Amino acid sequence: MLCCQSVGFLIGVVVGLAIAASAVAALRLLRPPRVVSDEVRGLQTALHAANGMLPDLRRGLSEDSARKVTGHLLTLTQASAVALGDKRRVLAFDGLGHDHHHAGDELIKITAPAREDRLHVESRLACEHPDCPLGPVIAAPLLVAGELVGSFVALYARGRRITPNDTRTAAEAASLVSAQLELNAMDEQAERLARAELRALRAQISPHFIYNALAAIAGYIHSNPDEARDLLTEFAEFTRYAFRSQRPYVTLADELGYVEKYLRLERARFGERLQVRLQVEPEVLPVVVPVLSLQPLVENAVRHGVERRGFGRIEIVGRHLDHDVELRVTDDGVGMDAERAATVLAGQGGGVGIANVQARLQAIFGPGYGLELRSEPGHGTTVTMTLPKFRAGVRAA
Amino acid sequence: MIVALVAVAGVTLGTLGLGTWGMRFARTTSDLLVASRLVTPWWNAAAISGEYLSAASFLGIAGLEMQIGASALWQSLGFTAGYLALLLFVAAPLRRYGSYTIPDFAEARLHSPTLRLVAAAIVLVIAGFYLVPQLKGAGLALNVVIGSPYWVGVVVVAVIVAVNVALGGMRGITFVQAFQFWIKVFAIAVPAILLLIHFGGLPERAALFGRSLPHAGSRGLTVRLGSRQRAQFPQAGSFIVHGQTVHVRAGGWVSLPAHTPISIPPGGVVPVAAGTPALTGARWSRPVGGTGQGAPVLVYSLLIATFLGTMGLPHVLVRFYTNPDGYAARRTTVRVLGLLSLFYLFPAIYGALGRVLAPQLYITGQTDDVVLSLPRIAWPGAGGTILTAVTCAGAFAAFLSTSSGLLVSLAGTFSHDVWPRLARGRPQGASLRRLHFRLAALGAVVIPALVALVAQGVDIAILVGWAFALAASSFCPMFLLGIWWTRLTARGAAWGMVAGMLVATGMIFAGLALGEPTGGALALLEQPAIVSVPVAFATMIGISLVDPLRVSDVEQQMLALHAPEGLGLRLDDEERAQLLA
Repeated sequence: MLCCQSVGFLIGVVVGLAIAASAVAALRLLRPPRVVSDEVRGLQTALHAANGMLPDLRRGLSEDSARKVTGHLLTLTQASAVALGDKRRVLAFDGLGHDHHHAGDELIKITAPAREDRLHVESRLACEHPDCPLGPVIAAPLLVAGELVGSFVALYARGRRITPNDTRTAAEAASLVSAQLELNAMDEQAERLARAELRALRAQISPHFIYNALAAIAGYIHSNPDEARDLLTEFAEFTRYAFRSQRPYVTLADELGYVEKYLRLERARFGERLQVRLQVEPEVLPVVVPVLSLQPLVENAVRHGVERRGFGRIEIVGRHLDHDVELRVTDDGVGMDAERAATVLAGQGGGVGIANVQARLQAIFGPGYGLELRSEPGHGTTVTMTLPKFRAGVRAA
Repeated sequence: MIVALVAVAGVTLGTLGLGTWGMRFARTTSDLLVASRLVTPWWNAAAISGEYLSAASFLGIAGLEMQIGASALWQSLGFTAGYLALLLFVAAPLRRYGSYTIPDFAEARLHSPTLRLVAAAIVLVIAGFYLVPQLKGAGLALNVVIGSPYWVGVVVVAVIVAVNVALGGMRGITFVQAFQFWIKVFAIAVPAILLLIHFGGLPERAALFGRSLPHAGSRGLTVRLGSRQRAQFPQAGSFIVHGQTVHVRAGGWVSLPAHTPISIPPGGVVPVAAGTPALTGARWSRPVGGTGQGAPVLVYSLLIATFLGTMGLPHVLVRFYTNPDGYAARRTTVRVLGLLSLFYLFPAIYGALGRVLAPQLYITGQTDDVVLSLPRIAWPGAGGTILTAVTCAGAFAAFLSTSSGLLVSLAGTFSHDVWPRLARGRPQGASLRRLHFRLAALGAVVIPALVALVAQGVDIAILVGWAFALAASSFCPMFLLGIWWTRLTARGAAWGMVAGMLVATGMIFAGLALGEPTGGALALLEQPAIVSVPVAFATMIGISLVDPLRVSDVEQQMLALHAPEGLGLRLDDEERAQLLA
């Protein structure tokens, strides 16, 4: 049974492949033709090498990242060998003589320590190894924000003379590495900034809400002491969650629990005038989010949608859409016009909480994710948060 | 077959409706604690089983069993045992790690965006391979229900599934899939049990275990073929056509006319289609031995493919995400083992009953039909009609749920892994991603549907076996080594997966090109796992060992995979330095 139909099956597979191949071919044909000259090819090789170093150097200067980029630096500079070092030691060595020059050697064995302000050229490598094929050396400093962090060393075969072109190339390569390391430093700074923003958010959400919550609880103390005690416990847990530090990420289940506590406290104040509908698919709950990312949206909905009129309805809907999840917080308040809505996410005109959430989400998940705000005067506001189900390195503690 | 048509339409509409309105299953109100709303292991297990039980389980195993005998049942054993491997080695660490798809894990564990692309390409191949038998099953089932040509069923189900997934109707909601599982169990168990009661146990045991070949029952056998069919008499026998009795010697070929009643006298041997072996009961009921599919090396190869392949099925693995933690993931997997064991009791009954009660399926060779048409053939009248309607409806539930899951995986891989790489630098908003997902869902069904149209003659169970073999020789080594071996590198993982895939697909296509080699080492071409899995492991380990580019934060990764949650275990830099020293 297999054999008689197998030919047909093969034909099907071939037809399928042919269709896929012709689709690719059609795409190729639609593109403008490419004519490549030698010069352009050289440029492309250089750009490719420069580009290839980028992702590794963005992780900072380490043995690991240095080892990955020395190959690219070799093609870029056309030297016989290259080395990257921190201030003292060789982090990676590639090219001629790699049999006796290794990562971890003292940098001083190859070249004098780099100076912050200039290139260092030696006409002969002071190598003790009898068969060392290397001669002239150029050492260039790697600078991040004007500060020396390491050296880039280009080595040339014995007997070769160093031309001004060589020194210029080595200097350019070193400044390329420096620039990319600088990007890494900026990443770190952005992360530090996000952490600072989180601290600011933690300090900021509360005063207004704390006053109202405590006032509402105070109102219950005589009329309903049990309820007041429960609310105070909720309040204690609420503040613990908000102020507990060193927890950048939580699961959405935790964050929703926090939102529930928050809403319970708000309901103590508004009573039946605050209607809440929470509809969350269970598949959404394990998603990892930055702490305090949903609650500010809900607090905003309460402030702008309910507080001003004294009553209102808030809806929180969580759905999972294949690899993403979507959370929607809707109020039926006064809303705002499109111009204002556009500025809220950017952090201008009130809504600092929302802008803060947006900035953190986009810093973590990239520009394809984050918040979207839709509002019309008189028809309420909807904030939609889109998150990926998984992002490397983002893990609930 | 109005009853069957109504049942199938009902199940289809029910599935679509549940997918669309399944939102209501998400429990609501704000007085409940959120934690209690997490899905319980039982629900999760039923959902995983529901997504997993495909046309292969529902139709293929019984069909293959009827054709080649008890050795087909190794499939159901392997399909279940795959969850044991998952339980022992993968389920809990993977859940702790938090990754959603296989490319997610590959990229994060080994810090390699390129590996993500490799894994995504393999997901596309495996899911595509797995989609073919689902669509083939749909073609067969619709043919049984309304007598439509084979291609109609393939096209109809392909279109329904693609449109439904594109419209976002099938969002893989846990409760809907769990419900689907119980529909399938009901649809396969109830007819089987009622048939056994009706016949008072297994009838005609001689045909199952004795020396006789498939033969007509005590009242003779009358069939009407849909098309002209060549068949071979394994023993001397006779048949009556147009009132004339034709005698055939043993091994003689006959050409049977279409649309005419053909009778085989009571107890007479039944001719079999080319490619369908005619086995005596003793041979048929022997699980291992001989040179066919029961050859020990093939059985081992199949067991390796299924045991190790289950963990690499893209649409199954995403279901584990719904578990709140690693502990729950393990509890869920244990329940899956139980639920699948329950289900797989029943296909075996259809295969055995089919050999005795529906021998006419041997004439056409379409034994994959047995679950669908057995009740109608064996139990003429209203009882059989209703039971056939039930099994048809169950089969449709199987195609719809599994192919939806597969198509979601395909489309998601396109829109999340492949497209963003191709279109770097272009804007990528959430709504644009949804649009890409929809377009991908519509496009991704085309090639599997075309392959299904020409693959009518290849057994469902064999097609599914290939998907498992591919998964076992690519993702299984990546998971096992990625989770349990600190030395794995991105380059090793990529080359290992590629090598396993190339060997497995190469062997499968070589087998197809050579026809159906039997006996000797060539028979392995049909069941490549025993070769391709070791190749993949060896490549992965070898290349990782010589690769100087190790994963820099491997201790952190191992903690994330293996340390129990809630302890907050993370290494700080000082501890890392000590560990490395």
